[in-house]
Amino acid sequence: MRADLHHMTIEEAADAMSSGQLSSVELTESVLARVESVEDRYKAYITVDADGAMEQARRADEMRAGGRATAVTGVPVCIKDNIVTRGLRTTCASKLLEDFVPPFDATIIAKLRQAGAVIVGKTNLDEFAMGSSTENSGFFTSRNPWDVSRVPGGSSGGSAVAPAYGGCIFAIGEDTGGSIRQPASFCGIVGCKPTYGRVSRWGSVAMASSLDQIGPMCKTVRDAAIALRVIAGHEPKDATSSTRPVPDYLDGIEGGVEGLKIGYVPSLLDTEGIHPGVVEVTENARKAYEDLGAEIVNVELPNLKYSISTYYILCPSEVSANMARFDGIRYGVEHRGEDMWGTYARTRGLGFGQEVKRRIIIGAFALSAGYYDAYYQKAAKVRTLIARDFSEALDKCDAILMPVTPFPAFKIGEFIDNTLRLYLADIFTLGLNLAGLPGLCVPAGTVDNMPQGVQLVGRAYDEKILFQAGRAFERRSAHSLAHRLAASKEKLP
Amino acid sequence: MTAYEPVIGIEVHVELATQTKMFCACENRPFELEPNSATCPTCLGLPGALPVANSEAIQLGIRAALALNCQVGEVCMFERKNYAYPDLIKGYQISQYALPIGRNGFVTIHDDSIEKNIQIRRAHLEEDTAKLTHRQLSSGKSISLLDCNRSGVPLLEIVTEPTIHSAQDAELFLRELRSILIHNGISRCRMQRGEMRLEANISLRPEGSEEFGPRVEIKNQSSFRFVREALAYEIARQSDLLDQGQPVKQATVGWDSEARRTFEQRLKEEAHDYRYFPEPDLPPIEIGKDWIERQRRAMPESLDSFRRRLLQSGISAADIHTVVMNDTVEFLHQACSLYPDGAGSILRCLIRDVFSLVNEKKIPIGDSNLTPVNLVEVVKLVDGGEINFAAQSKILQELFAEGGSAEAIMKRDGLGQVSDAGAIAFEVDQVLQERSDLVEQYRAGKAAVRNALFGQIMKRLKGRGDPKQIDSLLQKRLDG
Repeated sequence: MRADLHHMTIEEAADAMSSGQLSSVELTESVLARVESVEDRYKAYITVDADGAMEQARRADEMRAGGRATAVTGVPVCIKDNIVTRGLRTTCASKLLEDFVPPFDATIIAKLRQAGAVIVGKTNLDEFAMGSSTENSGFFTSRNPWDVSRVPGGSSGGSAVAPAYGGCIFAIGEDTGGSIRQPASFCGIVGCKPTYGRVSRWGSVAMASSLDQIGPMCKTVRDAAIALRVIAGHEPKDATSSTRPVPDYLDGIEGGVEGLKIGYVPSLLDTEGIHPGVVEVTENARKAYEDLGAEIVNVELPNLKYSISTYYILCPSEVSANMARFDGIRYGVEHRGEDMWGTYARTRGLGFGQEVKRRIIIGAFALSAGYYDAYYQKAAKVRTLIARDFSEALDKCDAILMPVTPFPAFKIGEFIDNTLRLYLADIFTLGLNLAGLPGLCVPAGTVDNMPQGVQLVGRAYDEKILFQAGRAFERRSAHSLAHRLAASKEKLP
Repeated sequence: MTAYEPVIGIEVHVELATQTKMFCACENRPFELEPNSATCPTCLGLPGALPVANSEAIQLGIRAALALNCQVGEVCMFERKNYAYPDLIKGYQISQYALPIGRNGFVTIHDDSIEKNIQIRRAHLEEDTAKLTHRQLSSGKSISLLDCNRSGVPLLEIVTEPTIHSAQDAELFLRELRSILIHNGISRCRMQRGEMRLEANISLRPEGSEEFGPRVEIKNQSSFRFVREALAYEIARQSDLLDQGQPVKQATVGWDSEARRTFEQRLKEEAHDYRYFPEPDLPPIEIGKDWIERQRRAMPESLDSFRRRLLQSGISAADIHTVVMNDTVEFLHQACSLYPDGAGSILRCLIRDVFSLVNEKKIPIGDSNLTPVNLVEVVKLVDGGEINFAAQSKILQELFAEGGSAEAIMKRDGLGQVSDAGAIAFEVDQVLQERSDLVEQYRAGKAAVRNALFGQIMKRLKGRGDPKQIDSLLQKRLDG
């Protein structure tokens, strides 16, 4: 058993606990101690629930003693703070919800609790998940553990930082346009955006309802497979959640890629602004798959270039409606104005940050009478074309290998005045959300000394092949979090 | 003076008679429960909550579309209608826009023997808002209270084409519509509970013209009479303006039922832009032919056909109108299907006794303990000659208040009719002997005293004598 308990994977922890070498109380104490000692440096958490975590750990140990342990019983997990937790403050990193304590659990929280996982706390994000660096958080910016002058990515930044520095064993994120995969790539961990509908959104505070999807952010591909199985499945209270049975994602995960067809999109490597290091990492991943015995099939995604403009119409349109309920009247922080309309204006004016306001305005404009056909309607049509591109490409292969981001983690403040350039950096991730397809980000190398991942894209509900292909790559490569931690020069303080 | 043609369109919102709300499993009983007790994260609009469409509401929507002779939409799809107000807890209302559940239908109205079709443009499903109550505290401070029991209650909005041309037809349409909705179990349409809310718009144009004049909208009415009166007032007011060459201003008005005039409501100047877009939380639901057929089969006989059937059985159009244009229509239909040969008796019983009970007790028939089953039981006792009308009234009174079995009440209270010929003959002869003075008067040509004799005989039989037997025996003796 390793000495630095907080750097354990789900599997290592579960093995140690089931063999009696470790208790959840010990493991949770170790994780909380790690948080206590370095959280100030990395700033992953908005809320740490130390007392609650210890109580859950004690119950998890009882559960194990009673022979009812699951794959994640007693394992500390952190949750992106836009997923509601009963009795535990859920802020969405917005000042408007600074004091909001939900009266109910999200479906995935109920599933994690039932499985005996230990919820350590709620992690930082861009306000209401709008952003890709956590710089839009209403409270503070999280730090990239590999270089604290850089962003961890976002919006699920805190959920990438915490597992990377040992502030939890695994994390839950949420991905609307890359919000799991991009920070996973920036922080050197594994992130999975499941198929839209695979994991229920009940309790996930909606940013763009047709794009949001909850998923695991873990230290290994196997951990992501374990975690997804725990949180996936139908929720009757969510009309968009699928009734398909959830498979055991570990079953066949070590099967390798021999005989599999991996799609590759060479034209994407010519994308404007792509870092040569990213091209190299992606090419190396392709070569690795060839060496592993996969057949590389070149495919095209001709409409993917329109995904940014499509996304930044559809997402703000949905945002403009989803943000409407935050008026401070029934919950949240109210700022009184002269009259009712004044109270609305002050509450929302002071409560929301710049990016939220920007998207509300863009969305309200795109949906306005006279503009609807030109914007929303047209974007909805292009969305269909993008989905068709993926579907045609995936007819020719089992999974597509793509870059995740055009460049590695950037400096804090680097894009603060250039929102458009930051939007453009979502080019490789948005398409999957528009098409509803699953994606897996796996660490694949280093660019400018920062971690860089690649992305595997699969057919709807075929997460299994992604885990299998991702695991084959991880087993062969030397870029996993464990490798990185082991390399002494990159050891985290 | 020019003759003007009124052009009237109507919009009606009705709350559907479902068990649960439109998009969550909360009870649909906004009127009865403690404020905010029938609520959940969904109808409170809490962050993270999601809607799921209530299939019972969709079924009632399909039935409404069928009952209003509409084309039923092939896909049930919802959209978000965006606007801000504190009673709209999500900041948008989930409604239907591009694809309503029903469109292009009609309702036939009956004005004496004239039938007219009122065109229905669309009928769509949506959710109700929460209820705001404004109060002043003893400290003088004004507060507004929010009750979310009504938030998310299923609503059906029905919109006519502007093809109604008189205030009277507007009222007839509304009454007919209400009967259709009640008859088909779509809504209870209890006006005082806001289960049916009315809006009308009206413009005038010179007769023969095809163009529309500026529209005046009459908002938020809860009474058919008020709609008719407000429309009649607007027709007169607008005609006067036009006669004087003055323009009619487009406006939204309310009806002051005491001053008996419309008054302009202050509204925001700009036109609303609701920014509709497809509700991403609710995937479209396909409404197959099978589903529609299943609903059609589950519906009762149409109101028009029922009305024709009653007419054919010899009941007067006026009596039919009285009952059909009433809350009791569904009750009547159920009773008639239990006792198909007794439609006339059932109708008579409703008009003679039940309506007065409803008025007297101020309890709608649906909330009383009277059921179609025990009503039919009473009517059959009368038709079978076992009780008379006086007993019918007494039994109905008890059934209305307490429920129970008509026959049991009859036996317990000894209300059974005396049909024994011997007993009746005895009392007839006794009275004729005692009141030979009246008999003489009758024979001298004063026919009215016959009723007095009849009354005395009935009194001696404690009101339970078979009136037909008494009548014929009395006549025989007087003639003899």
